[in-house]
Amino acid sequence: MGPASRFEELFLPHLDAAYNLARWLVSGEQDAQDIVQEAYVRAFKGFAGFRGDNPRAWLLTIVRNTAYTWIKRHSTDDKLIPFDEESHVVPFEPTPSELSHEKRRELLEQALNRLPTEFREVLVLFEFEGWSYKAMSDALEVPLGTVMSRLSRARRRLQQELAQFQPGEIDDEL
Amino acid sequence: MNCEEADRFLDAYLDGELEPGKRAELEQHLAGCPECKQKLDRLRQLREFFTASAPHYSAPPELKGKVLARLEVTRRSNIITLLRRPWLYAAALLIISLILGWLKFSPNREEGIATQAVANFKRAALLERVCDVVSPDPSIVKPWFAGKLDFSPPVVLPGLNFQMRGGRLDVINNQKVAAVTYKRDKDLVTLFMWPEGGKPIPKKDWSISGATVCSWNGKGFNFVCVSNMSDDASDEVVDHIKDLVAQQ
Repeated sequence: MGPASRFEELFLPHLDAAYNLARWLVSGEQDAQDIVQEAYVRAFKGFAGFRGDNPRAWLLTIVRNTAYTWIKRHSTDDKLIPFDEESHVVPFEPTPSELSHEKRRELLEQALNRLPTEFREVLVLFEFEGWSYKAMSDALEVPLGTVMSRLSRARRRLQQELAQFQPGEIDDEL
Repeated sequence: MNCEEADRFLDAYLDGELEPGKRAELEQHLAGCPECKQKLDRLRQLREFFTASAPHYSAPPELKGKVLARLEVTRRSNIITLLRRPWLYAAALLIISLILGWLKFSPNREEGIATQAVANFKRAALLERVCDVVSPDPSIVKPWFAGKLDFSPPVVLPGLNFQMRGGRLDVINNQKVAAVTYKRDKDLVTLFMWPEGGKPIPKKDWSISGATVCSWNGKGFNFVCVSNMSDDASDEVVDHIKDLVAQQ
């Protein structure tokens, strides 16, 4: 089996994870697809240097870096600028459970879209990919303490965004 | 631990990422602080809500094909890029030249031929089987070779008081060769000849096991002359033979 088909054997099973991460980091479906394709090409070119035993994590790190390159090239907004968590912390009241799953998902998606990319990134890597703080620290190339505070700030910010919907707005929309 | 510190560590605590020392401190604080305990509960609810409701996007069905296509293009362009490198051709040309040169003018090959010629020379002298056809006359020796070989070697008389003893068949490099011997008192000369066949042997002199060897090529033949004489005496005979062959 040649190195070409070995590459595909190792990395194609993680296409969903790659797309999910890309889609979380940039909001457009088409942009996410472009990023995934670009990331696979980058991974293929760097495959000779891949020595690790975790192709999924390696691929996701490349997806993440590709996404950031893409954001830097295309971004006009300031989503990359860290959010100042010292301002107005509003406690999150959990969304009433009688809300439909679809509705809750929609609300969360809207809230997430207003988060800086860096916050969404640590949320998806920790909650969905199950990366440890240490793994994120290595992949994002930031100190462990930064990972900890970034994730913490991401949740505070999410609480705050979600709090804006309730309770009145949700009732109105329903 | 006060509330401000506790707040910093709530997430790591919830994520199971807090080191044991800090964890104990935090738990102690939580036990006596309903406010922080409530913050923790809210965080836990948020996490539950998040994992239950946050969107998980699956790759659109067409993406796999697109990725495969991009990989194929990359693979092809890699090959094209490689082919565009001039040094690759230079290197290939150099390697081919070296191999051809080695095949044609390998020092080992020449040395091997000279050594075999000397061995043949000595064996013939020891076994006193110097000639298969004994005659001083080229017009007898030459036709004899014609019946045994698929080539017709030049048979010449070098003069210088040498007498031709005759000719025989011999083998060098697994190839049948013609051998003609000449004698002058104690001086013994054997001239080996065979078609160069694309591998001309260069002009060269050796002294191997007390024998003087001289090689050259001309008229489509390789020549190796072995004698028991000095270099100078050998050179003189070889020069005469060369001239005579050239005139034929």
